Amino acid sequence: MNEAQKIDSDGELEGKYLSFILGGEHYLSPLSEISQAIEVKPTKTLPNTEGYFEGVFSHKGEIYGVIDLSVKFQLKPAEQAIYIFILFDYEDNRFAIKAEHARGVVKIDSEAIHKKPKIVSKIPLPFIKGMVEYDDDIYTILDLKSLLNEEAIHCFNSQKVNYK
Amino acid sequence: MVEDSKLHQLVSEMEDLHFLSTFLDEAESMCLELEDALLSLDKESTKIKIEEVFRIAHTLKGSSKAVKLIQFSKFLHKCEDILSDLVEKDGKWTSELSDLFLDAQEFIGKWLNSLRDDPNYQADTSSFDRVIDSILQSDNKGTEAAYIKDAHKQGFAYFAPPKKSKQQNPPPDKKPDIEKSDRISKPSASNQNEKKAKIDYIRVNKEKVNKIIRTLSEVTIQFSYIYQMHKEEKYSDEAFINTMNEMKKFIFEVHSSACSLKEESLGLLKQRLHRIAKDASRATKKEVDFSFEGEDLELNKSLTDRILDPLVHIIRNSVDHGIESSELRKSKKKPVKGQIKFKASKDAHGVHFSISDDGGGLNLKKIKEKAIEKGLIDENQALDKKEVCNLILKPGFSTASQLTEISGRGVGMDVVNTSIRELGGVVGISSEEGVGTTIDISLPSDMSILDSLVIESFGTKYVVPIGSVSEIIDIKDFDIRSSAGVGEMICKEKKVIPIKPMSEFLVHQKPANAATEGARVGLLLDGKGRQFVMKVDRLCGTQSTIIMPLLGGFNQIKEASGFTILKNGEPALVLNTKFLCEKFEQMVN
Repeated sequence: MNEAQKIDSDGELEGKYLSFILGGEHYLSPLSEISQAIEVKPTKTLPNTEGYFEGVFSHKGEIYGVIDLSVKFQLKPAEQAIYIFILFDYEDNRFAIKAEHARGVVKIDSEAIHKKPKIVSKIPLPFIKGMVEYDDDIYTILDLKSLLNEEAIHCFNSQKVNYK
Repeated sequence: MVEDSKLHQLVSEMEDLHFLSTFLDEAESMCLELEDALLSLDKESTKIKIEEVFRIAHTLKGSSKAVKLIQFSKFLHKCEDILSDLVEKDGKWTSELSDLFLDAQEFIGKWLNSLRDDPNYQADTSSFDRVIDSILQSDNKGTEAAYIKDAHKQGFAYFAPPKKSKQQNPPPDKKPDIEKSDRISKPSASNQNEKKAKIDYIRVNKEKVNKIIRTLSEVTIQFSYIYQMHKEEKYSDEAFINTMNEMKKFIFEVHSSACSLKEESLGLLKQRLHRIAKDASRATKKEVDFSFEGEDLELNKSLTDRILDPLVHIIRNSVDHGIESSELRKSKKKPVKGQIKFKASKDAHGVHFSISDDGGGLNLKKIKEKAIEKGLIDENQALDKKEVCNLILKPGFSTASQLTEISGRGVGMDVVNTSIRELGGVVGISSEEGVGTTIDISLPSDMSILDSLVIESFGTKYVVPIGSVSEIIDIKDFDIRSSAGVGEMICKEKKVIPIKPMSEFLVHQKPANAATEGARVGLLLDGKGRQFVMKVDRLCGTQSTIIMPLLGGFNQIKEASGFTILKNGEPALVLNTKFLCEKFEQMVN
């Protein structure tokens, strides 16, 4: 992926998901929640943040924070990955998820989604919307919007600094 | 297939809706104008001011007729009748009339809101009609006042449930509950989904737009020079450098004027708060004088919108709990009229509001008792005056010993505190018993341009507004002494100043570089009453920075007041030296 790839937004977004890889596993996120996917940009670290907060970068005049989910959820990073940033842009929160590889957009029938996954996942259940079987693989649908909402607040905790 | 006639009907209906929405936009601003005129009339009654109210009512009536809002225009027609009578007979504007019209204005505001949700909305004006008709029929001024008083006694039954129209509407408030009345009535859930997203417009001063266009044409001309020189490869010419400098100046000018487009003077905020103070003083029968400072200050409209609710709450609190009753004030030899002073100001760190009253002040003993009772503090905990005052900001705290109509929901300053913190701001309270209370609110800076210093610590660049650094010192010039408990310090001009490296405040999980050995740059910062020196690794220069506010989750970074983009395109934090000084103080003490 040499060029920044803008997610094709023509037609219906309903039932369309962006498929990406984290720690070797397949994940999906609803297209309607994603604003863009771009190639990785160099980031600047911020002080007083958690380790999984990789830093910030500027994109089109806005500042985005990058959250590395593989650090956050202790997933095994891939050896040779083509990283991409998936941008989320809602209300005042602008965040990017660092994913190992974006595989493209898939269309999933809502009836095919299993609502309650029974398997044990490293990602906490509240952030999992469901599981689906696609192309002989299991895909996990993530609720990145609420995850980012929560993480955004936790990763900048000024109290962390020990002001004696 | 839609039949032709049906299609025609559909098109005309849609046109009507479009006209209606334009009318509503206009009418809302007229409604505010009306409020302003009424409030000014309330302060001093002149014929010109009455005519101004008449003019607004008349325009509103005319345009509502044009969009076929028959009932609405009839209502305004009646209001107009009273006014024209008054102007003709050279009558006096009584406080009863003032109250009636202020209520009517509020009623119109709510009506307009309901029309936005449902174009077929019909309001129940019967109680207003009764009062107005009685005024119109009566020639005797005395009975007129009596009629209105009578209506007041009946509890202002103006807000009766609406007649059912095509769409379901939320029941409006049955009486003018002041707590609720200034909030926009929320449409029911099903209604909300159907409602189209409202397009936000801003009203812009024409002069501002002209200035931007003028400066932009200047930039265009400069650019064509530069382009020409680029073609001829005359990069080192003096003319080229001059033009570049000129262009830089103009580009910053365009940016700051463009930013100011979203800004609004605080005139409207003043009007709203004045109205709130007036309504609250009416409901509590207290005499209150409201003054506003900083009306000319321009602030981002979204900020003023979001700050309004907390400010309203504070002002109601001041009238209801702060200002004493007239009798009590007399016995305390205070002026009978209570004072509420509102101040707004802006500096490098952001926007500051201060609301002070000359009321009874906070009862510290009572607050402490209550806090112990609620388990917020320990019985033996030693707290100074300021700490006790700020206890009322804690969640679940309310001191009002009796619930009142104005601010009696059992929630108090903690709600204000929460909403201000959501905006990334801070609330502080100071109070003197018997003398009054002052509430200070500081909010982070809006997008603005500041001259700043770029510094480096642990391999990361930060920006510090130049105005907040009082001096840059070379640490090599001073003897560094250290003492247990306080740490290192230097002696400068016979003052002992504590010194700490910046990396103690801004901790990196994975620093890009280790601290430079022998770093010798110190920034001298002015804290509250004492100075501090912050050691940094390197000075990288100065630049005019555009400061972007910290949005969303980023506003949790208290050490910074904004983001900026450095000359090389990298993002960097703008440090909040005020916060750092406070932390410095905590570390040293």
